[in-house]
Amino acid sequence: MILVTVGTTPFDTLIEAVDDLAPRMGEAFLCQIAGGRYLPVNAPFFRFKPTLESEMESAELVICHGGAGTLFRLIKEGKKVIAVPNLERADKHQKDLVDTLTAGNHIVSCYDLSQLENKITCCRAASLARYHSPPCAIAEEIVRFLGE
Amino acid sequence: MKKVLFVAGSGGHTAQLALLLEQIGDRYRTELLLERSDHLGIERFAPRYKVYTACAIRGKRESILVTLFRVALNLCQSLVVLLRSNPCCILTTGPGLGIPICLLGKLTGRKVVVIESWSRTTTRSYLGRLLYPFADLFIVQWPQMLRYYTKAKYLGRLA
Repeated sequence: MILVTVGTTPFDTLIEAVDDLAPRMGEAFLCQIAGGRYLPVNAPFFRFKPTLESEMESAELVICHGGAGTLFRLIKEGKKVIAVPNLERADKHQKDLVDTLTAGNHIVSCYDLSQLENKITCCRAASLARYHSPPCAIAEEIVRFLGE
Repeated sequence: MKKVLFVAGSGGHTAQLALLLEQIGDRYRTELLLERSDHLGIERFAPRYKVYTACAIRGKRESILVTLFRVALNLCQSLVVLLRSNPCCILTTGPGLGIPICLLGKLTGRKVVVIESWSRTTTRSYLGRLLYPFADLFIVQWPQMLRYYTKAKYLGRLA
């Protein structure tokens, strides 16, 4: 199963592209669509769940938006991920992280939804690098700075 | 114990705040300023910490007039929060919600700590651009960001 998740902000063009692709590829998709207006007919969907833990675990591959929370969680587990930056948002900051993680070979990025099928094939064949958190001393520095 | 006001908008900004609070939330008299519409965040933190709220600075695709109105409203709300909470330090993980309260805090002699978001790898946020000159401690989460913020510190990442 391929899980498609958009996080908290609707991302209708992605869901529409997947819905279009599902019958052609004969692939099983599951879509989390948030408050999106487009409702897929060729794939089961839901809006929100408190946690996507079990869906992510059983997914062979995940197609998601460029949100940091989702991305970091998936690449720490070494999941196969295709990130589609949501440029429909008011700010375009998702591109930043997606490009950096693509350069690090942690994810496959997709900027053109007409290429989604190719990207799925690419991502399946790719050997992506699992993400390891760098040592983090942010909390210590804040404590040092503020004093007791 | 020092009182610290932690400020974060919704989504990933609150996620970063939560990770930070797990480590240092109990060391201070911790209070929070969250976005008024961030129900998930308010539900999550209200049982544990005192939570204030204020309106967001930027909505999606709205006119400059509406944004100006929001900024004015937020400034008033932030001032009330600042007077009621009276922290010695304000720490924000973004987004724009943190700008007015940090500026007001700075003007009234409080320390300001800014953590640029973990999703900023090569470009700066509004919050970062505006608060960098005023922040007493400015932290970035990707080493590439040090070229914009030369006095900032890179100390790893919350993820």
